[in-house]
Amino acid sequence: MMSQNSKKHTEACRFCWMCRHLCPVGLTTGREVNTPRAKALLLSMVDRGEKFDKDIAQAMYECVLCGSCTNDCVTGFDPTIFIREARTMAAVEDLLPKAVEEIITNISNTGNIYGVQKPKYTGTAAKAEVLLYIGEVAACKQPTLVTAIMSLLKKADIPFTVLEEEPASATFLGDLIGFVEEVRIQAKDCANAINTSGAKTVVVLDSYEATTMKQRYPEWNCTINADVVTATSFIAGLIEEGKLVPKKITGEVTYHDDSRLARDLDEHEPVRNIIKAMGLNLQEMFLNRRMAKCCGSELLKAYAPELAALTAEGRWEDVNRTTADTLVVVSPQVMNVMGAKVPSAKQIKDLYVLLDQAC
Amino acid sequence: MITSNDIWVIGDKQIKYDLALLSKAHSMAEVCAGKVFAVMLYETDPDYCIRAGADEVYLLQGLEKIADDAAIAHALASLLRENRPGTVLFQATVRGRAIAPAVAALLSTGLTADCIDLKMEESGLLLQKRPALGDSIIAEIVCDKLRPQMATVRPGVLEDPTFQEKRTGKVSIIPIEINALVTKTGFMPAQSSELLSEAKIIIAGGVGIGSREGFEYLREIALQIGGCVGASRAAVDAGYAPYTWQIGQTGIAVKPNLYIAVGISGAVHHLVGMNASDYIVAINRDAKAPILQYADYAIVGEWRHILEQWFLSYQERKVCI
Amino acid sequence: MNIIVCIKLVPSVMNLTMDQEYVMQRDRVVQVINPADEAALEAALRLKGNGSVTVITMGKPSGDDELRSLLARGVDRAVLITDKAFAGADTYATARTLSVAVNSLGNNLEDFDLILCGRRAIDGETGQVPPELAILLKLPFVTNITKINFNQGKIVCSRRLEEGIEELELGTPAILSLCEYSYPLRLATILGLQKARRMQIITLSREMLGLKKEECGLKGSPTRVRRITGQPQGIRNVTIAKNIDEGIARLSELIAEVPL
Repeated sequence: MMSQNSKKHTEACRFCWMCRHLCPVGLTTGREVNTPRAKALLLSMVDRGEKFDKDIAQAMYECVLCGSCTNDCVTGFDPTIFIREARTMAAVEDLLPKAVEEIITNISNTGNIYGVQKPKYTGTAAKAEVLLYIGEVAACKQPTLVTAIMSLLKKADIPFTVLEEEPASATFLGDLIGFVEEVRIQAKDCANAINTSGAKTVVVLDSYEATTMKQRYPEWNCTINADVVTATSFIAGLIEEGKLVPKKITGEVTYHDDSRLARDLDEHEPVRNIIKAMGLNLQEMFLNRRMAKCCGSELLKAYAPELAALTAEGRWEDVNRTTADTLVVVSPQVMNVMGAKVPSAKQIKDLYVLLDQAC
Repeated sequence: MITSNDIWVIGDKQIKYDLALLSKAHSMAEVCAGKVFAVMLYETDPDYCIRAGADEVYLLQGLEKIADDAAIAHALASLLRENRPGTVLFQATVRGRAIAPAVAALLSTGLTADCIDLKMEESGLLLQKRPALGDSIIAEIVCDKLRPQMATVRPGVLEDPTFQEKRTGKVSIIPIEINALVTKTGFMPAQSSELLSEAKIIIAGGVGIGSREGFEYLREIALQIGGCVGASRAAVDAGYAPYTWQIGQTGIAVKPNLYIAVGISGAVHHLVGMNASDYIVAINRDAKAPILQYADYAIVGEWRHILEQWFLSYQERKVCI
Repeated sequence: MNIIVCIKLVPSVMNLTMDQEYVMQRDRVVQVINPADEAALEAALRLKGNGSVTVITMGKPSGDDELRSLLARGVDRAVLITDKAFAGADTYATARTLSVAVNSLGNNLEDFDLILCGRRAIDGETGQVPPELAILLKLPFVTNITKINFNQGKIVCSRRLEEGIEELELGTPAILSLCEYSYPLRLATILGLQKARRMQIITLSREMLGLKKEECGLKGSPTRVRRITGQPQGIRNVTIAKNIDEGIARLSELIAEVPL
């Protein structure tokens, strides 16, 4: 049971094959089934009576939902729409891949994809105009990043609060089972918790979660009363206002635009401004800004680690083509995915950690 | 009694639109040799109605506080059954668009919604023009087999009323007893900055405004210059502005003297709600935004900068005066 | 409460584009549930309590999938009224068909407490069906509602008028029409989608409703479209400010010219 909108998108494909040159998964696996057009074809077969089976369901999860194909398509074809719906279909038909099912169980047990107790952080005040939304990836896997951001806010004299029990943003569940009511309810709980804090600005560490809050929450009527900003924009703003004055560091770096900052939020310059303010020499990678090739995601890594390793390697190839020896990132997800596959001659650094050292 | 070519105008609350509709009815009645009856649902000076074109005025008493549209429709339908006019016209206000269909259903006849033009044929057949599909087409509609033929007319589309000083006419006061099944328990008048349908100046923002705070700024400016603030659907969807501010197909249609579209790209469903404005100014940072084609004047640049600069000059001038 | 919700499938406004003559292109347009009807449905789902929500739509047989997606959101029963004879119906003929359908459903289930509709559809934009249906079913009605509550056997609702918000009270049964976005519609749940796969959609034809051909569709419509003309969408001859200073000066002039 696919929506008319989904059907329209599967049929919008003109089979020009240009998206296969952009798909981070298809490019590294080389498998035809991993191209966006193949997924459209599979679903139009289902619409014509073919059985939606375990293999088709599996194929729908071999995608990072990075939006690169959507961005480049001349017919306005948006595979993320029907892939999400097909994932819903997989859940409904009891055809979820086992690894995916395990993550859903983790979420329902602990609220996060790792199935662990989420570490707690505290802000500088119980109530403040600024709320820092850390998110599960940074909280569980990147404590140094969290410490760096918090230290930067303190240095800029910004009192901030952190939710005592930070609810999930619904980002990952939405990618796993599509946009269904269960996901909306999770989003609503998150919006309510943020609203109860009384904060005026929510600084969101993970750009993926910022995108969900800025773009999906309004669609789902989960209004956040505060202005939602990405950590990158917020920190870049502090530098612009002179509240953070970094010392110059010399060196050559390259930067990977994560899919959400690249295509959903169109925030390309704040990071570059931070890099510039630190005096670093930025070497742009092949496929940057809107065209950035996705390196994989923490969710993909959680249910298909071998695939995430391939996508990360695919992006490291682009890093290798620059003269920079350091890749700077601002996303906890990118840090985890790319950080697991660093080639011997290169290093990966978190921009906030660097900035914290420079301020 | 057979159906006449008379035209009945049901007046509902907004005297200036009611009088315009009476004048229009008067000129149509001359074509088909009928008379014009004004049926006023509220207290008003019947002389104005007569001078605007009514031959007879019925002042219905006791309806001011009635919120039961079905009951009002029953009262009107029995009057219409007794008198059998050929045409009945209502204002396309929220109330008019509720009462008129109820009357039409009671009389088992046709009704055309939200007409923007009417033309009477000699035979007494009414040509009703109404926009559809977001104003992209105009449908010409007739009700050729049944009488009365009924229409609601969009407020503000007709020419101003013409008054003939020496006209005389009959006035009857009709008390109406209603057993209302719907009762009114309260009323909250809209804030002056939100009375979009009556506004002379509207400053409307789109997603380009970028935040709630931005919309607060627009509202402040609107209040300063005695205008109203509006929003595009995209801005409402993004949570920047409340739905009551929404202009367009799924919001309210407006017709101010001056419409200032700030950070609005110009989606079709927004355009249909504002393109009747006398003068449209677009402020947009994108010189290729569709809204520019639909504007009389455009300023390309950052909206905040432009409005702040303008506001400074506005305040300076105010001090001078 | 047992509630009926009348739904119309309309072309999605988000997908409408215009051709060079500024006429809307309707091919490739997706049919969606009319926005105001979504609000009516959500209000019904919140009010139903231990009762039921029945959705009725009149339209092409292809509406099946969209109705099923409503069953997955908690709708108990979906009725599709479909027949070639219904084509071309104006608001009165539509209301008549719907009234007969409502009466025919009443026999199968306890009486209905409420009928909820959207205040108007984005394609026809008349908003006439709810009051017409109310008269044909001899029920009181209120249009343009932004808020509904059910309190001690009474419906308490807010109605949006041009000049403000009216607070109203009425008993059941009644017909109410709701404004767009007053109650954003929930999404389908996984469990709901699983259940919806096995549910039947009730289809009613003209014969099943016992309507004569001349009572419905184009034949049963008092009004008739005589002509349709395209309307250019109001392209204006825009003057673009040479620079921001000039623009600001002009803006000041324009605002000063408006009589207040």
